[in-house]
Formats: sequence, structure tokens, C-alpha cells
Amino acid sequence: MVLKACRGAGLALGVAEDMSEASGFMPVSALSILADILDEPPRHADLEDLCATLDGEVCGAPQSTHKVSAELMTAARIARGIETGAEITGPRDIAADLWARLDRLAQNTYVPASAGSRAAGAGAGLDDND
Amino acid sequence: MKDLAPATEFPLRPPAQVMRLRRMGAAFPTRLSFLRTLMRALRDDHATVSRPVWKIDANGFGHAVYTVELGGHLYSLVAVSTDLPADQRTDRVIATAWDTAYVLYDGTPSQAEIDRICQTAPKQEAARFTERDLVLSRANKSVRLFAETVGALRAGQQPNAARIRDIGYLMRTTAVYGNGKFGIADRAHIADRPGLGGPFMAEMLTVWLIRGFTHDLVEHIGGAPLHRHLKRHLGIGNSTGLGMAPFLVSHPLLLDAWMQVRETALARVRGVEHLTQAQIDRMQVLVQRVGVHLAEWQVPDADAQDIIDQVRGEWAGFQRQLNQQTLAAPYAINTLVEASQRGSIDLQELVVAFVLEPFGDLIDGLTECMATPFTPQLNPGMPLAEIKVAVLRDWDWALGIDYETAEASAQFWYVSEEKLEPRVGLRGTEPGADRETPLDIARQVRALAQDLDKANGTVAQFLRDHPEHRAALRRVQSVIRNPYAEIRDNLIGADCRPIDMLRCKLAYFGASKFDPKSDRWTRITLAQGAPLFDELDRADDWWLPYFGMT
Repeated sequence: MVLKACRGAGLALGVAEDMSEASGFMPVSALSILADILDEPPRHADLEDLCATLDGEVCGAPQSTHKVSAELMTAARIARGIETGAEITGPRDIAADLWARLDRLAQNTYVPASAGSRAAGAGAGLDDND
Repeated sequence: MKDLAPATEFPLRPPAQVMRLRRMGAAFPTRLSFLRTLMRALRDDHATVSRPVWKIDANGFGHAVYTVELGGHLYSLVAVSTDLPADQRTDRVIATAWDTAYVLYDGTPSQAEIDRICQTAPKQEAARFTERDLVLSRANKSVRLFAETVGALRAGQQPNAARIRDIGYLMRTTAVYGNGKFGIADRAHIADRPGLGGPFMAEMLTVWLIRGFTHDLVEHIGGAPLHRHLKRHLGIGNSTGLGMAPFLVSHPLLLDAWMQVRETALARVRGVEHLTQAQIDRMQVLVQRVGVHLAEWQVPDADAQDIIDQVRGEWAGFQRQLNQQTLAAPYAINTLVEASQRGSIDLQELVVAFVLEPFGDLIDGLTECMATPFTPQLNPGMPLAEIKVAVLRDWDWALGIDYETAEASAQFWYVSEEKLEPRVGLRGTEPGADRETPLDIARQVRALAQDLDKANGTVAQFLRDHPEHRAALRRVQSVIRNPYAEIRDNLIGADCRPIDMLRCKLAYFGASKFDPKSDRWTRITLAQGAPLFDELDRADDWWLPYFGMT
């Protein structure tokens, strides 16, 4: 979902992928912050910058602070192996409106269905029943 | 499990050869396929299947529960059968009702859990599930065979053998969902359990249990038992469309693991200097069996049937050279593999599967390397010079293509709002290319290469200036250490046949009897010839079976 939301927001694919990896380590509060950034295109550069900063840290640069929240940064660091931390497994209690925000962005990656698409796009006829 | 390598190590076939769609689309199931591995695990664990609940009415509707223990854990298939009007039956992902629905449950379900699953499973994607639900699936009756079989049994007869032989399943699954979808348990939940750690093991277990249910169901409604040899031949059908195709692209390290295991196995058997007489005898038996299997593999699609007929003809020639003398010669397997290079790609891939089959002791241990928890990680410190070398070496095939041409960008992948179904469209004539799913890997790498040309320094420096190339660069890096991670064909080109991606993955599952309906979807059969519930102690010997085989 996070991958699709990031792509739907217009992030570069590789940045979206990094955020998606990091989301496995994000508590709900960090996810909410991510959603805030995604909803504001001028702030997307912050996420690109975050990736670049962490690239530097992987190469041995000292850890620094960043304009994105510490929680988001920690999750991203854990995903990159710069810090240790546990993946957040199991269902997270994501508020309906946060889910809706992410989903709305993800919708930008879907193509509206049409009769033609339904008939031709997946290869099967409408039916497939014998 | 012992993992012995022979003294002579042949090189693996190179990815430039193996990772082409045409060859991937010619894949056959092998003993390393997931369903085979599962059957061996069940056998070695002395697993038994019980059926603690059978609440199916005379018309075949209701529910049932099957339980099996594997690796110290109990798993239950909860099967729900509902009355589906014929005009609502469709295998398309966009269906909203099915003949049967299933959950593979973690443990033995209480009555409350059974009731919950009976309510939710028939709704499939429209419902939400819990961490105790490991796999979600549904299956439709084969209109061709199900009623006919019931009718025969009711009349005190066995169904027509030729029909059983030709169709080969009573029901088709149309989706088998695992790993966290719709609220079911993440793969991580079961990945450490003995027997279930391999790729798609839970899904394979589900399919095998469903197959047994279809036998029980038809015997119940028909009021009489089916002969064992008929049941053995009845696997589970499956309709696979584009939903599965992006998986290979979105899981590059997993794809690399599967390919490396198979190619390593091939290299090992080629390195065997002398076959034992038992191995020679086995190959003689198998080579005959394959011929019969191929003859029974008949499909309506004319182009696909042409290929099957061609391979069958080639196999007859291959069979003739398989005598005691050739097999007793040094490095006989390698000789066979090399000889097959003169034949079609389809023959070559069939021979690969064939030569693996007698060497379980030598190669089965490799299957433990098929699961990988890893995902591609960027190495930002790598000098760009290394990336440039890698691009030229691993992606030369992608660099020479002009993606502006209609030919090279004829297709685009997208996700339909409807059921979030992956589809493929024709660029220019169909809408949606502006929301294209980024499966255009070759084009992405080409764009990366163009900007790399004048750049120097490290990956980190380059990506700071070019964040848009982050994904492509990560892919280029992955291939350096995981050479089989990428399909080496243009997935948006006019020549791309998504069905080649499907067949590759399905062959790893253990599917056979590929029955393509178009370039974009295929029917298959899983577990045809596999042990029945009470036959798990049988030898692991059902590769490319034929009807009535003992």
C-alpha cells in the first residue's frame, strides 16, 4: 500500500521503494507523517533528500538530523541496516482516515476499468467457465 | 539433508541464455518444484490427513475440515461449498461468487472459527481474515467434468476414462492468496516452521488438500467411490492470468534464488562421471513415461499444440539415443544436455527437467536455498565505474533498443481499478499508459545508462543528482551479485508474451499440462499424479505422469 501511495503521489520509483521498505519499521505516527509529506508535493524533495542522506550514512558519514521527523528517519535507518530495530509485524491499528489518505494516493496508480479493458486487458474473455 | 557435490563442477548456464522469456516460457516442472518438495516433506514427516468435519449435504453443499500435521504444527483446510448459479460462474479475478471457498487454518479450528470462515471465505477479497488464516482460495467446478463424473457414479459406473485423462481435474482454483493479503497471516508468521519455510509451501499444501476435497465431494454426491487410478490423475486445475506476472519482476532476489538452484542442480548432474545401473534403468523408465505424457498433453490452442507436437517428435529422437551404451559412457548426462542444444528450446528445457529427475540425493538439498528473505539493497559507495561495467555486461541487450519506437513500447502494464487486477494494454489504442506500472525495466536501465555516460564518482553522488534513477541503479547492482535476478527481455515490447512469465513461475510451483488460452493467460494442472491422502509413503515418483501409471 505504501509503495502504491508513494508512486501515486509522484515520487520517483526508487524513492517510493525505499519508503515502502521503511514502512515495515514505521509506527502509525510515522506513517501519518509520511502521508502528510506525500500530500504536499513541495515536500517530496525531503524524501529524496532523506534517501541521499542515508546513502551517505551507509558510506560512513556520521548520523545527522534531518528535516523529516526523527521517527520516519529511524524507520528508514533500520530498513537500510544503519540501525537495528524490529520489523512491525501483524496488523497495525491504522485509523480509517489515514488509510483513506494513503488509498487515495494509491488510486492514482490504478486505471479506471472499462468494458474494453475488462475484455482485453487480462487476456481472458469475460467468462472463462468450462 | 546432505548436500554432496560431485568432483567435477560444470559451469552454470549463463543468465544471458537462461533469463530470456522464450526459454522461461518453455519451463517444465522438476523435482525441485515446490509441490514436489512439499510431498517429500509430508512423506518424511509421516504425515497423515484426517477429516474431522464433514457437513456436506446430498447436493454437495456445506462445509468440511481436513487436518494434517507437518513439522510439529497442525494445519486445517476449511472447505466451504455453496450453490452457485451457472451464469455466475467465471474464473476471472473479477468474479464475486464461486462454487467453493477455502481457508488454510493455522491449527484446528473451533466451531466459532469454522462458522466465521463459512461466512467469510465465500466472500473472498470482499471479506477480511485473521492471522490464523494462512491461505485463502476458491475453486470452480469444471463444467466439462464435474457433473458428468457425479452422473456416472450415481449410475453405478465409473466416469469415462478418456474424459478423465483429457481434462484431468474436477475443479479449478482461480486464486490462491497467501502472505498477508486481505488480513491473512504474513509469510513471516510461518516461514520458520519446518516444512513450510520454502516458497509457497502453504499455498501448495492448500492446493493439495483442495484436490483431495474435490475427490471426496464428487464421491459423496455421486454416492460411490472413484477408482484410485482415476483419482490419482485428477489434480487441481488452475486459471492463471496476469495477476502473477509482475511477481517475477517485483521479487528479483527470489527469482535469482530459484534459477540458481535449478541451474546449480543441472551443473551438478552434468558433472556426474558415471551413472549407476539403477540410475540408468530409471532414465529408461522415465524417457518412456515422458513420451506418453506428451502424447496425452493435448490443448485447444493451435500454436501451443504445434509446439507440443514438435517436442513430442523431438523426444522420440532423443529417446532413441538413450541406450545402455550412451548412458554408461562417462559424463553421459552432459552428453545428453549438449546433444539437446541441437533441438528446440522446448526440447532443451524438457531435457533439463528430465536429467534432474533421477538425482534426488544429489540435488534435493538445494531446495533449501530457494527461499530468501532478502530484498535488493542499494550499495551507495560503489564507484560508478563498476556500475558502467555492469550495465555493459548485464544489460547490453537493453541498451540497443530504441524505446521511442512503437515496436519497443507497444505494450504497457497497468493495474485496473477493478479488483486491482494487473492487465496489459496496447499503448496508443488503450487508455491508461499515463498510469503505467513500472515494469519497463529495460527502458529504465537504458535511461540510466544515458545519464551515467558523463558521470563520475560514486553511486551516492550520482543519485543525489539523479534520484529518478534510484530504482534502475538498484536493479543493476542486484544483478552483479545475483545474476539471475532479471528477465533479460523488454517487457513492454511487442514481442513480450506475459504467458512466458506465468509459465516460468508455474513450473516452479510444479504445474504441468500448460493449456494457454492467449498470450496472457493459461490453464494448468497441479498435483496430477501426486500421492492421494493415504499414499504419502509412496515413492516421490510422479514427475510428468501419464494416465493409469502405476
